[in-house]
Amino acid sequence: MSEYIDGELGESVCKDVEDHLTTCRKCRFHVDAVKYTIKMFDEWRADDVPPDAMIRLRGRLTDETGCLFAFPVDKAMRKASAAKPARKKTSGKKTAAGKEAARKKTTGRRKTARKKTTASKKTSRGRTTARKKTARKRTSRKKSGSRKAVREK
Amino acid sequence: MAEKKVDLKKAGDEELVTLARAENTRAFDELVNRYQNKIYRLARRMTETEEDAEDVLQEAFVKAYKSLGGFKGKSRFSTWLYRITVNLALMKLRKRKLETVPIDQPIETGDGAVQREIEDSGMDPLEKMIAAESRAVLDAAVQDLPPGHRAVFVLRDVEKLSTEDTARVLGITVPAVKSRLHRTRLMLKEQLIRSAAARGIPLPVEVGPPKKRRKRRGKSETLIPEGASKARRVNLG
Repeated sequence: MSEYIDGELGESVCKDVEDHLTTCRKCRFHVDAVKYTIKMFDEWRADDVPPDAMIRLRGRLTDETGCLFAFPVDKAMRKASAAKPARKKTSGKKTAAGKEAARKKTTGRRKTARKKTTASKKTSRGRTTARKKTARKRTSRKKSGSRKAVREK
Repeated sequence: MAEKKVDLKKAGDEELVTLARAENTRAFDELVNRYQNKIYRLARRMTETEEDAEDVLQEAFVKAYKSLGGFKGKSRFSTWLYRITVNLALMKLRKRKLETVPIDQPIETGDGAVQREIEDSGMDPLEKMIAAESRAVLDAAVQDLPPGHRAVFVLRDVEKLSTEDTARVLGITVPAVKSRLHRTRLMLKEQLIRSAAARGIPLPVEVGPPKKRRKRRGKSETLIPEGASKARRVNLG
C-alpha cells in the first residue's frame, strides 16, 4: 500500500489497485487515512532557525574550532535590524505595572527577561509580549548552549 | 591563506567543502547559510525540544567542520550532513526517551509552577487553539515511535527525501526503509485518529471509519492490529 501511495508500483499493478479501490470501501478508507496522515505532517515543525540560535552556533563553532565564522551576520542580523525600527516607532506604551507583571511571569528565568527589558520596554504591548516569550526561550537555550560548551571543553 | 576568486554563492557544495577544508571559513559560512534551516528543521523534527534541536544543530555543524577531511565525496554533501545530524539527533532522542515532559505539564520553577506557553503566531484565539491542538496531536503521535522508525518517517514523509537518499542517510537498505516506513505510517495513522478523536479535533469525513464494515467484522477500524494491516496489504495485491 505504501508503494502505491508513493507511486512506486508498476503501471499495471497500480491500475489493479485503483480498480480495487473503486469498489472496496475498506481499502479506500485505509489509503485515504494514510495519505491524510502524511499530509498532516507537511508543515509540522517547519520553523527556520531562530536568529539568536545562529549567533550561538557561530560562538560554539568559533570556540570549538578556533576559526572565525561570519555566517549569522547575513541572515540573523538582517532580520534583527529589520525588526528594530518598527519597535522603536511604537515606543512609550509599556507601563510600569505591565513590566512588573511580566517580571513575575518569568520567575525562574529572570536573568535574561531583565536583560531584554531594556529592549522591550519601548515597545507596544503586543510586541512586548511576543518578545518576552522569545526572550524566555532564548534564556533556556542560551543556558543549555553555554553549559554544553563548558561540558565539551 | 591563498584564496582563489570563487563566487561562493554560486559554487557547488563540493567545491565549498574543498575550500573549507583549506580553512576557508567563508566557504563554510556559505555551507551553513545553505543548510542551517534544513538542519534545524530536521533536528527539530527528530528531537523533542527546541533546546535539543539547537544542541543538535550546533553539534552537527561543529562535527561537520571538524570532519571535513573525512568527507570523501562518495555521497552528496547534503546526505553526509543529514547523516551526521540524524545520528546526533538519535543519540539525543534515546537519551531523552525516558524523561519526556508532556506539553501541558507546568514548568517547575523556584517560585512555583508556570504554565508552559505555546508560541504566539498572530492567529486569532480559536485558530491558535486548533493549531496548538493539532500540533500537540502530531507531537504526541511521533513521540511514541521507536527512534529508528521516526527517523525514516521524518526523512521520507516530512523532509520528502527519496527512499534511496533516506537509505543512504541512515545507512540501511532500501527494502528496510520501505518496510519501516510502511509500519510507521500505519502506527501514526492509528495514533492520529485515536488522539484526534480524544481531543475532539475533527478529521476529514473520508477518513472516518466505514460503519457497515465495522459492524460486520466486529472490529474497530480505527484500531488496526498488526495482522489486520497485513490482511489489507494482501487485499491490495
